[in-house]
Amino acid sequence: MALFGKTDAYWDWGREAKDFLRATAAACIFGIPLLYTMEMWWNGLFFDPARLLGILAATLAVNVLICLFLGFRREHTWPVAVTEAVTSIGIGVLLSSLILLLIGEIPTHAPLTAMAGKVVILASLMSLGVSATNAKFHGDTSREAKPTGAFSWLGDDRLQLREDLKDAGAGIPGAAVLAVSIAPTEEVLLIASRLEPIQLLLLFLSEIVVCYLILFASGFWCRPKYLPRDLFQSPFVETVLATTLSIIVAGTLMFALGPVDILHDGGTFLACTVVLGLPAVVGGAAARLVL
Amino acid sequence: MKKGSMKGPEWVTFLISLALLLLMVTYLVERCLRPPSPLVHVETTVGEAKRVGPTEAPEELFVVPLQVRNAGERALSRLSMRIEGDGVMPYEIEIEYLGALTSRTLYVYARGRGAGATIRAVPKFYRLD
Repeated sequence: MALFGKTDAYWDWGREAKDFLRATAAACIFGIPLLYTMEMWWNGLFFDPARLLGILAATLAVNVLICLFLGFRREHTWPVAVTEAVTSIGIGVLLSSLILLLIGEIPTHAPLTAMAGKVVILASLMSLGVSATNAKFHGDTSREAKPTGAFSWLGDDRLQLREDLKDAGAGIPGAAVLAVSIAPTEEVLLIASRLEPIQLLLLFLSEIVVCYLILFASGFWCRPKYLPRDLFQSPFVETVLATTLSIIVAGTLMFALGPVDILHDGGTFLACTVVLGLPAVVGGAAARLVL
Repeated sequence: MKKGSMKGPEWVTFLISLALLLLMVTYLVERCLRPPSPLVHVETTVGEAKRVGPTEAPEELFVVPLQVRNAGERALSRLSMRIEGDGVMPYEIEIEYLGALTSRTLYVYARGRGAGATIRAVPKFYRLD
């Protein structure tokens, strides 16, 4: 399709979608822990508008520097750095609004006044994640690790099992590291108690989507596949397994460290587990990328 | 990508992001320019009372929803309110924070049929941060 006299290569939406998904994944990794801090919600409500403007300006400056020196689009010019910094903040604003809506921190009937502060604070942090991560991974969409010859005497089945266990071994501590400091806090129960069942279901589904974004859609993850046609190696099944593992970690942490009262009520315990599941899923998926 | 050549979708993403950023900045600047006022109007609305427990109880117990709304454009913290009315032992409660133009629903226990109609919440103290 040629639009405005430009070629298909000019209107490459596929590549832009990939960049956007990568940015979403990075923003989640940076921003989710902050979401579960009650004081940050309050700061969003109480901060003076001038202070919020200052935060926005400082965020823009830091984003410009990141884009300038790391090269978001692999270019190191001031105009490009400014445009990319603005794009990072825009993505941050969009995602933070969505996530705050999802956990009920912005009621659907809330006025702009109640939303602006919270969105500015969360968007600032998320935008830094977008800039920094895109600077590192932008345009690198073919990061598939090839199977190596090491341990070839084990056979493909066992090699794949070894890789799967390595992934689980990275995912479990990753989920635990991010969720362990959140599990004992009041915020989990607070969010869980105000969400309707349909909102909890949406949150659970979004956890699966976030896991998929971080592991597959973003193109961050590369690992050898010894059985590429195996059902359990398909992105969907792997995403479901990774999410389930992280949710189990979240449930275990709620059982061990959460408020004692929730253990007497199965529904509340389940709701708290789903709420804690979001940081656990992000932590588990992020750890698979790193470890 | 060649140096200095942003593609169509990148321009679209940038322009949407710029619009979001300008919307935020415009809103915050407008709030900065608005003259501050220490007067914040707190409104309360009493909802329909629901009976708790068996109807044969000698003194029926009701739960009355009480909506507290911050009608001002500034967030309140430590909003202290006195709850009083027929069938309610007067007491004070504190709401940790109440955002601008937002509301919170409290549930008050009251004894006796029709008790809900006389319940009211009187603001005693608040802090502007």
